[in-house]
Amino acid sequence: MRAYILKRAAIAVLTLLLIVLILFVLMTFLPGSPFNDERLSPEQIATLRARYGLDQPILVQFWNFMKNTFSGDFGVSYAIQKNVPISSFLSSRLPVSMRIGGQAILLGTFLGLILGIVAALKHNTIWDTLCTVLSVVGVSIPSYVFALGLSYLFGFKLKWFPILYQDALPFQSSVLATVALSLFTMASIARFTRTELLEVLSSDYILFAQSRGIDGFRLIARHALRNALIPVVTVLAPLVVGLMTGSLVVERIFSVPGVGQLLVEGIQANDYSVVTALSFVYSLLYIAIMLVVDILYGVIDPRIRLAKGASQS
Amino acid sequence: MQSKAKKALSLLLALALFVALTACASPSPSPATSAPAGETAAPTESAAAPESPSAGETRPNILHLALEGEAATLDTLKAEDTIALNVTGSLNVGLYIRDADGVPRLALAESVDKSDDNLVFTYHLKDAVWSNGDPVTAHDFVFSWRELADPANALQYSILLRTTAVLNADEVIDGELPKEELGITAIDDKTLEVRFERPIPYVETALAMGSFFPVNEAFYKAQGDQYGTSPETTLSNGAFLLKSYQPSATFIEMVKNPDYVFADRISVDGLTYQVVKDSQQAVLAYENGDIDVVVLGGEQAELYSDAPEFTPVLTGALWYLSPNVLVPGLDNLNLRKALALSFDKEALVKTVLKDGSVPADYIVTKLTHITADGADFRDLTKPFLEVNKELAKEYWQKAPEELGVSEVSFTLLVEDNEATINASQYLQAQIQENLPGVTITIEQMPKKNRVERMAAHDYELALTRWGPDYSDATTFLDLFLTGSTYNYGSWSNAEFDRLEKSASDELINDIPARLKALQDAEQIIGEDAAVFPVYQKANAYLIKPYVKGIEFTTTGTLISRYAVIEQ
Repeated sequence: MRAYILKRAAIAVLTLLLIVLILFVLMTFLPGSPFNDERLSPEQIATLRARYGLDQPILVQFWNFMKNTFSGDFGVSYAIQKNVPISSFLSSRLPVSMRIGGQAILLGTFLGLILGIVAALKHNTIWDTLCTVLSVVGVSIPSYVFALGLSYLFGFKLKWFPILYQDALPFQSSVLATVALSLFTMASIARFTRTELLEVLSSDYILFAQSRGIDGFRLIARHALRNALIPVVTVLAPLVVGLMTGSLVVERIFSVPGVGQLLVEGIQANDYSVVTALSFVYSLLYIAIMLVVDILYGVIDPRIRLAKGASQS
Repeated sequence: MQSKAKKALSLLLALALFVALTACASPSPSPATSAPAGETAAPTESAAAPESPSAGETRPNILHLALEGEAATLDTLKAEDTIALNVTGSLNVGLYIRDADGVPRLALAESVDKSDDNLVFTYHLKDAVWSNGDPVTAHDFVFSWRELADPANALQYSILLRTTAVLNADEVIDGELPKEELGITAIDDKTLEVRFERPIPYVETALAMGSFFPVNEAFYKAQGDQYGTSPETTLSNGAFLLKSYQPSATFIEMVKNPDYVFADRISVDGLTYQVVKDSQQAVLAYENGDIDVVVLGGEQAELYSDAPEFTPVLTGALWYLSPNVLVPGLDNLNLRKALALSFDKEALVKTVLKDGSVPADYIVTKLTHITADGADFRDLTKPFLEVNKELAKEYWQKAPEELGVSEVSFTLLVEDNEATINASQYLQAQIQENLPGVTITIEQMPKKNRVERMAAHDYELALTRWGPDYSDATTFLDLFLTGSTYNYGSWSNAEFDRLEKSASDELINDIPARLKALQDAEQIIGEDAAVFPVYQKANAYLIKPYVKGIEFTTTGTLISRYAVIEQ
C-alpha cells in the first residue's frame, strides 16, 4: 500500500511540474498585453513592462515564474485589482467558492445516492422511472436556466432566500447557488449509482450473500454499495474540483464573490498573475483530489491496490 | 396486461414531471417576458409593497446602487475605468465638482485667483479634513499631481496633465525634468498655485476629474500596496466614507461623511453598491427592492419603455466605424463615402439597440461641448454623412473604375459583447445589401485585443467607441490629428491639422474664431469620410419612484450624492 501511495504521489508532483511548464508556455503565447490601453504612451508601457519583469529575457522570466509559483508568491494583479497582491484578494474569494462548491457536492452526492439506490432497488417501477427522469432532466437543464428559475421562484416570488449573495448572510444567500450547482452532481451520481448497483445486485456473490441470509440494509450497504461506488467515485472526483473552484455562470447570476469568473476575466485582461495563480491552485486541487481518489480505490477495493502493487514489483 | 398499463402510466407520469420541471424553469430567465403586460407596466407596486411606509415602518435612508463589475481600485490615482471612477468619486472630491448642469463648481477650494493671462491659478482651500482627521492641505494636491506625472508610475491618466497644459507636464511625464518641476506649488498649507503653459478653455471641468483629487502622502505611503483594500487602509474626504470593503468586493457599503464640505446637501445616511453582472438578475433584484437604480440592456429597455420609472439618459460616447486608410480600397474616398452612407442608423437604434441611443451624423457628440452662453456645439454645427442609400450606390459605382475591381471584402473587428455584436451584424447586413459586391466579415474578440490590433494598425474596419475625457470638441477632434496615438485609421489631412492645432494655439482666447475652426475641422472629417459615425450611446435606467434627486452628468455618468429617499 505504501509503495502504491508513493508512486501515485510521485506521479502527482511530476504532473504539477508539467502543468506549470505548459502554463508558462501558453502565457507567453497569449496574444495581447495587460497594458494596451489607448491612453498609455509607449514609454509608459515600457515602464510598466519593466516593473513587472515582462521585459526580461524569456529564460529569466521562466526562472522567476517557476521560483515564484512554487514559493506561492503570485505577485500583484495588473488589471483586475490594480497593484493588489494576488494573495490578499484571492484569500477572501477562494473560500467562498470552495464553501459553496463543498455544500453543492455534499447535497448533490447525498440526493444522487438516494435517488440512485431507490431507482435500483425499485427497478422497473414508477419510482425507477421518476428517478431516471429526474436525473435526465438534471443533466440536460443548463445551470443558468435552473439558477434563474430558482432565484425567480424562491428569491423573487416566495422571498425565502436573497437573490444576490450577501456577506452578512453567508449561509442563506448561498442556498440557491448551492442547489443550482448540485443539480448536475445529483443527476450524474444518481445515474451511475443506479447502473452500477443494478449490475452488482444481479451478480453471483449477492445471490450468495442473500442465500447466507444477509439482507436488507446490511446487504446493500456492505456488499452491494461498496462495489457499486468505485465508478461513482471516479465521476465524483472531477465534479468536486469543478464545483470547488467556482462556477462561472452560477456565481455570475447570484453575484457570489468567488473565483468562478476570475480566470476568464484574467485571460481577457491579460492579467498574467491572476491566471497563473488560479491555474496553479486548480491544478493543485485537481491533482490532490485525483491522488485521494486513487488511494480511496485501494481502500474501497483491495483488488485494485493488489493488482497495481503486483504489476509494479 | 397489467404491466403494460403500469408502463404506460409511468411514462405519462414521467412526461408530466418533465413538463412541470421545464415549465418552472423556462419562463423564469426573463420574468418580464413571461409576465403579462400589466405586471410589466407596474412593476414597482408589487416590489415596493412589502416595504411601503403604510406598514408602519420607515424605509432606511440608504441608497442602493448596482455596479456592472468590481471596482479595479479605490486609489484615485489609479482609477481609470467607469466603475472605479464612480466608486472613488463617491468617496473623494477635488478642487472642483461637476453637477448635472455640467458647470464646474469650487469644492475643496474657497476661491480662486486667476492671473490676467489665465496662466496662474491660485486656490485658497477650505478647512476640509480627511477621514482620519488630518486636514486637507495644498501639499496633498502637490503630492498627488506629482505622483500622477511621475514616469515611474506610468499612470494612464497622466495624459490629463498634458491636455490641461499644466506647466512642464510633457517634460516631467517623459522623464526630461524632475517631477518637482511640475507647475504646482504649495504656497502654504491652505494656498495652492497651479501654472499652465497655455490657457485651456475647459480646464476647470477637467480639474474636477478623479485623477486631480488630493492624496494624503503620509497615509498613502504608510499603506503601500495595501492602500484602498479595506476601510482601514483607505482615506477619503468626499460625500461618503467607506464602511465595508475588501479587494474586488461585490458589495460595498458607505456612510455619509459628516465632515464633507457639502455635507448639508447630502440627504441619505449611506450608500451601497452591489455588483450585479447578469442583466436579467439586475432587473429581478430591482423588482425585488434590493437595488434602487438599474441600467437596462436592449431587450429589457424595450420591455420597460412604457414603465413610469423608465429613464433614458444620453451619454457622451460615440460609436463609429473606423476604416484603416492604409488598406487598399479603403484609401479610396468614393468607397469610404459609399460605406459611410449605406447603413440606416435610425433603424439600428430603434430596432437593435432600443436603449435611447440616437443616430450620430457627427463626431463631436451632443452634450460634450457647451459654450459659455450655454449653447451646445452640436446644435451650432451642421451634421454630415446622413444615411443616403441612393447616394451610397452612386459612390460605390464610381469606386470600381478607380479601384479596378467590382467586388471588395473587408474584415470588421468588433468586441465580443452582445450589444456590439448585434449592432455589427446589422451594419454588415445593411452594407452588403445596399452595396452589392461589398462583403463584410465580422471578427469578434475581447475589447483589449481589438484595441491592440487597432493600435498596431492591423485591421481593415473596426466598430469602436470614444468617450469624451473633458468638455471640449477637441476631446474628439484631437483623435484625428496626423500622428495622434489614437489615429488608428492613419487618416491625415493638412487643412484639418492646421484648423485643429489653431484651436489649441493662437485661437485659444478668441472664442468665436476658435468655435469656427473646430466646426470647420469637424466638417473635413465628414467630407473625407475619415470615420463613419454610427450612434451616440444612451443608457436606459429604471429608478424607484421613491428615489428622487438622481442626476446624470452631461456625459451620462450617474450622480448619486443628491439622492433623496422619500418615505
